[in-house]
Amino acid sequence: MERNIKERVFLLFSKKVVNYPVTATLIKRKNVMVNILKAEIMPNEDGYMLVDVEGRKKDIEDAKLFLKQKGVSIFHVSEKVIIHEEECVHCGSCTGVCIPGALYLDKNHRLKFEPQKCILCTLCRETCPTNAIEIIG
Amino acid sequence: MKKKIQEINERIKKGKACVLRADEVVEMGKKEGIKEVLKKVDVVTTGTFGMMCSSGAFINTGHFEPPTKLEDVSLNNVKAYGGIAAVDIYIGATERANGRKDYGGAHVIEDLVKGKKVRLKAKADPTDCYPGKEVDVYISLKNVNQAFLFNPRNCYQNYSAATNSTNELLYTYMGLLLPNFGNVAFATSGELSPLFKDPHLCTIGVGTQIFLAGARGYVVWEGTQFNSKAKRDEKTGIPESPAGTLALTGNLKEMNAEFLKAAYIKGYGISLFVGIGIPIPVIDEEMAFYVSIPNEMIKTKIIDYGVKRLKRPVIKEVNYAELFSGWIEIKNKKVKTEPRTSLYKSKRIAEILKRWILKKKFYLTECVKNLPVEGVFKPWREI
Repeated sequence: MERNIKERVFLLFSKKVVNYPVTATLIKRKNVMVNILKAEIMPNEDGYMLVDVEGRKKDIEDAKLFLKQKGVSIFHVSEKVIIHEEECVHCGSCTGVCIPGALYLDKNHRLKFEPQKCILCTLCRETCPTNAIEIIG
Repeated sequence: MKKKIQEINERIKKGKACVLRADEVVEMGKKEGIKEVLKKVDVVTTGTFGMMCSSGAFINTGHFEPPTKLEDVSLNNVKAYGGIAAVDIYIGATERANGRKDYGGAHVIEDLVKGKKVRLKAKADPTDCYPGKEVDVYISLKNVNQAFLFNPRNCYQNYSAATNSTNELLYTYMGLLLPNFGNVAFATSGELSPLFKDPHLCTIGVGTQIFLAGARGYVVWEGTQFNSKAKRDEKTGIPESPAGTLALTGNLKEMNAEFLKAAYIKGYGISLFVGIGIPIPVIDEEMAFYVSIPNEMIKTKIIDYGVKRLKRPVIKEVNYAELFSGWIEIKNKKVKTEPRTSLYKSKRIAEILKRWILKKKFYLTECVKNLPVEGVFKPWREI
């Protein structure tokens, strides 16, 4: 029998998709177990979810294809985010893509990171121009 | 009341000059008015620290034994230009290393400024006067003759902000643009930015001495894509879209890696963060007005990068106070904004330049030639 695999992913929804029962479809039609770890979903607003998905590899691939077709962006999450101060130029590029606001510029325009707010989505690393953000895991 | 640059320099020499950073003079203008700014302030220092792709460095290595022309030449595996005299080369910031995406010309320049050795490899067609066939040596800023930054286009006077209307993630030179207007990226130090404080370039021209990456630098020419025909705000005279640019030079050997930093933009390529500061003399009431213009009065456009054409649609017109606030509204949605220019470093540059002037290490220069008032930036056209 094929073994189940488990993945942690970050899902970014546009407001058009928020009104569609995405999670229910994943569970009922795509045979994937979904454990919601953190989410911010409001009617007629963009939202996000941090979820663990578990199921057969084929079902998970199928579920991801369904999400992409629905216009949901999928990111693999990390275990830890480290900011290397010596490489950071405090440009602020990462702050606009940090949805939970874990990265922000303080009143002196220096980058601050609050790890407890971080949802490990890795978008910050994608946009950092100076390789100051390291992702572990 | 009018002041001459010579008179301001005399005041600097006597230790009597009043020098303020642009953000300080904006506050002063709001509280005390333009007339007081003219009366009290002699020089306003500006600063910017952003990615400026059109940058690079000329290097002269010194001649080799046997004499060899550096023709097919690379530095740390990054192709450099050798199509000039035998041992003169130009390394461009955005050139990528062979086989690597995240290392390029900007990194070579940063490595050199940090004092690191860089491997130079070159091949040549031997001639009677240059019989050598190849070179494989290490260079550093210590063993080359000249190394100077020569940036064809820096210091853009205004730049459009970027957003993304599509439902796909976009990797652009303005950074990651999240789907469905997920964020807005903009690139300026706003009221601290040099060319906003002298919108008609009355005091900045060929020969103007500036702060360039921690060293003294100079404006050498109009920058490429210089456009004097951009629409200007009626009240402030500031262009509302990309307009003036500067070609700059300065001695790489005197530069500081704190103000020159390589950048790798995923999905786009390599660029170089360049730190620039320009002193603006407050010579008359007009200049006193310009140097006091706050972010609220400086406008730009938010462009949709989701449309992959040269002419992209404008989503909204905004001012920089709105963009710096961290949030903006697009189509009834609250959208996060992010700067691509480091305001922290921009302010540090303006502060350092201010201290140089106050310590009499830096004087103002009268430019020897004004930048063009007729320049138009055109898209490519067939002959």
